[in-house]
Amino acid sequence: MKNSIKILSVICVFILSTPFVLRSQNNTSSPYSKFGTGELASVAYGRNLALGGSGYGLRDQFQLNIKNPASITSIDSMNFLFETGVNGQITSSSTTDRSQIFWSGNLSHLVFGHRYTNWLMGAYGIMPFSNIGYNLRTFQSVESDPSFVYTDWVGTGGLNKVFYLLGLKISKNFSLGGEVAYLNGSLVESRKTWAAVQSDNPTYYLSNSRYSSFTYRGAFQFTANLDKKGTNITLGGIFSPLQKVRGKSSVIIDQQYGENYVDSMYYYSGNATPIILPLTYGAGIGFTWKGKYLLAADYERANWSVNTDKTYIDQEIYSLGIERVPQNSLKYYNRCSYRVGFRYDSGYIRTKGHDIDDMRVSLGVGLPVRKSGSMMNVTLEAGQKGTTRMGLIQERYLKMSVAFSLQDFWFVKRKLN
Amino acid sequence: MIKLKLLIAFTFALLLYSCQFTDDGDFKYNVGTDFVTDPVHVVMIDSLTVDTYTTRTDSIATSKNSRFMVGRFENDYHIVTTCESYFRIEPSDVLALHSSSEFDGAEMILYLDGYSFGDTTKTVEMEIYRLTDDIEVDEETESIYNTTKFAHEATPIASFTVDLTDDDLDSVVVELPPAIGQEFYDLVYNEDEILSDADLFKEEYKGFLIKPANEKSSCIVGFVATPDSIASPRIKIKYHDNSIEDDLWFSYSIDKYESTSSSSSSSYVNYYASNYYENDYSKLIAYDFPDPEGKLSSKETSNVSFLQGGLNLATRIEIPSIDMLHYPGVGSVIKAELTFEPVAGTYINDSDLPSSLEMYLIGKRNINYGQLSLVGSSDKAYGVLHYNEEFKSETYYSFDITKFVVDEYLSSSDAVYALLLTLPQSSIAGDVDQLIIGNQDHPTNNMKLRVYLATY
Repeated sequence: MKNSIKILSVICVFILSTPFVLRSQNNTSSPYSKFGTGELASVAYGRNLALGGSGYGLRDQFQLNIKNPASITSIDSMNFLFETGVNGQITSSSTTDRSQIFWSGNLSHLVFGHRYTNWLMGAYGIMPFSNIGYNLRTFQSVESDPSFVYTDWVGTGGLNKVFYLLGLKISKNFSLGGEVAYLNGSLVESRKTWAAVQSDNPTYYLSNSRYSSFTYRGAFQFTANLDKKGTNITLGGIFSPLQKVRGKSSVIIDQQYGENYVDSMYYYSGNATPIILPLTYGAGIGFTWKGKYLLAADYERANWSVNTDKTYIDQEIYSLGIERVPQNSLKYYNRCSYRVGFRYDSGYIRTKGHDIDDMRVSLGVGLPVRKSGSMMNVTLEAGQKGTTRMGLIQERYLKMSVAFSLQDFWFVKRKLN
Repeated sequence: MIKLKLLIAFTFALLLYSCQFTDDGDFKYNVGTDFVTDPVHVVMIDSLTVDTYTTRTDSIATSKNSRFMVGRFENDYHIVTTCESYFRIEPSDVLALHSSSEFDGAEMILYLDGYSFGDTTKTVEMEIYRLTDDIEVDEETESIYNTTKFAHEATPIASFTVDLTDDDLDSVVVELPPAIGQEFYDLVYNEDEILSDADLFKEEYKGFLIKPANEKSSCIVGFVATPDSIASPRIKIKYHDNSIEDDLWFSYSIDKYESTSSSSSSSYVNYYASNYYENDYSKLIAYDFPDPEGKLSSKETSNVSFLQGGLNLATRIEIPSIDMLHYPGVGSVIKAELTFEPVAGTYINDSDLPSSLEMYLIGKRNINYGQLSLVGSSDKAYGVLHYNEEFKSETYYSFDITKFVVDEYLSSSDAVYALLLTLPQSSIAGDVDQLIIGNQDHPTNNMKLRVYLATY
């Protein structure tokens, strides 16, 4: 057992240091990934995802609920957990006059959980934090001239998040949790701007920003059994202060004249404009009725409007999920969990007078693996984001996620053998 | 066993992680305006001061012209252009005239070549003089220039009138005094040895001048000047032979110049003939027109500047405040376009205007650094005429001077260069056409400089 943990630790260090190299392709094609750190990757996976992303008030004995670091103290019967997952998504992006289909796929998370004592539990892992992949054309009018200037924007990159969670069981009913995360990645933007009056002389802008910063998050969870048949209620909340993701940036501006004559006009190398991660807080409730049904509901708010850029607005997220809790039964389908969820995200971008909101429904099933306590969670999400009004883009997507939660039994040589 | 499972699991995970993919092609969303804030702004600046000057560059070789130009024209700005033509004749062939031949008369024959400049509704009176000076060719260039005059006798030997209102007029025949004709006749009749000695002949017969007779003339007329053509200018000597019942004649033609230089281009016919062009500015300005290195501000000439063939008048363009382009901040010039208009009333048809103009980079003293090219290209920049037959007010030239403005913008030193706007240099010797353009302050046909500046 100790051996396997050692091996795991070595591999973990390796994995945590390599994904930045491996990340070479875009995992989004959303024009909205132009804003902020890019399109925020899903913070939930597995069970949480199927419950509409809710999880502040959830406690699970067999799976890590990283939405609330305080919840991991519920893993009290195992020493070690390994969770990973993949997802695939098909997106149809539409404007009023055309639509386009995009496929994308990604590893959604790699997380390890480890119980240190009965009252202290840790988890660490890596997951994508944001993805950038936009390909836009904008235009603006020339100042004091009745002509236009066009800009083609191409953005790539994204941030990864390496995190460490700690859960502390203060009492039987109350836990505290915290998260330290290290965000790292690069945002690359290239622009080509040209005036309609002289399209042979475009101006090129290339910026490459490499961000790396630590972020912090605190959480709590309170749980109470209401009867002895498995009815309980859990309340939880998280809080993270306004934080800035800092980095280095280089900017090159070239002016092209004619076919092959380029003048370097501007070069900057220094601190990148920090990305603001706003003050975020959220609270949620989980209610289990007689050990059979679970209702989870979350509310979260992020004050994006602290950005000086008026494009950013405060974001509110409502999540709701219902689960048929697995039962002790000989029948396999009774040992599965069945989930349905709904999520509404008001969005943090307002462009052309419209908030880019996101609404999705989810269906999921949790499939236990033998009697090990390991589980495979399959979730199907369908949703839409944005609007086609004012020349904007609406994205409709269907996303399938498969997450594995593997327990230490899986790594242990069975004694019976 | 444990290790193997672990390895398989992590290899699988790593593989997946490295295989992120998106299938997006090259599709670009056109999200129009206001989607994101574009830090690059393009501003059009039309407030830069542009100073224009009329300037005269080098004199022009006119001895290779295929045209004689004679006449006088006063334009709306009271610049008087005068054109005169000088030429020498070569000895006639020696003919064995019958002893019974008798001289009848002599004519100078000039064919019109269709060119005219000025008021073609009035007749032009012209005079022919005999020269008292030798026609001399510049030894180095083997040319005669538009600024060269040769002395002539005080009284004309003949005068004639050209009536351009006569559409059928293709040539003029000028009766020469009999005494002069008789002299040329006698040379041939007597088989005078002067006919076989070109040096002796030109010493005796120095040449002729055709010039406008008086200041009433308001048009300049072009005549065919090429030798060896049926339309070449000539002196025709008419005679009759009593033994043959017919009118007979022979003629004296223009003397060709035999090049002494082997490098001389054969594409030009050089000959002892030249045009003298002169402008009289005394009614326009109170002082002499500046020398070739000087300049005459358009502010002193009713806000116009002049371009003219023959005299090589050009417009010098200076943009003294070009450094103001740095005021909006860091940026780059992406386009600079100069537009200017021929002054209404100084031309009749848009189609008569030169269809393209040339621009040269020059220094403070009109030193020429070559023709302006397009930015980022070796192609030359040309001014292009735009006109609309329906709307006369839309006649203008546009000139892409991006290259010049970019170079000045990027240069850290003060502006030392200027631009010289000229008529096409390849055809500049052959006519005296004028182009009169307004400057920035012209009330109706003003010049505009539009600079498109990207700031970031």
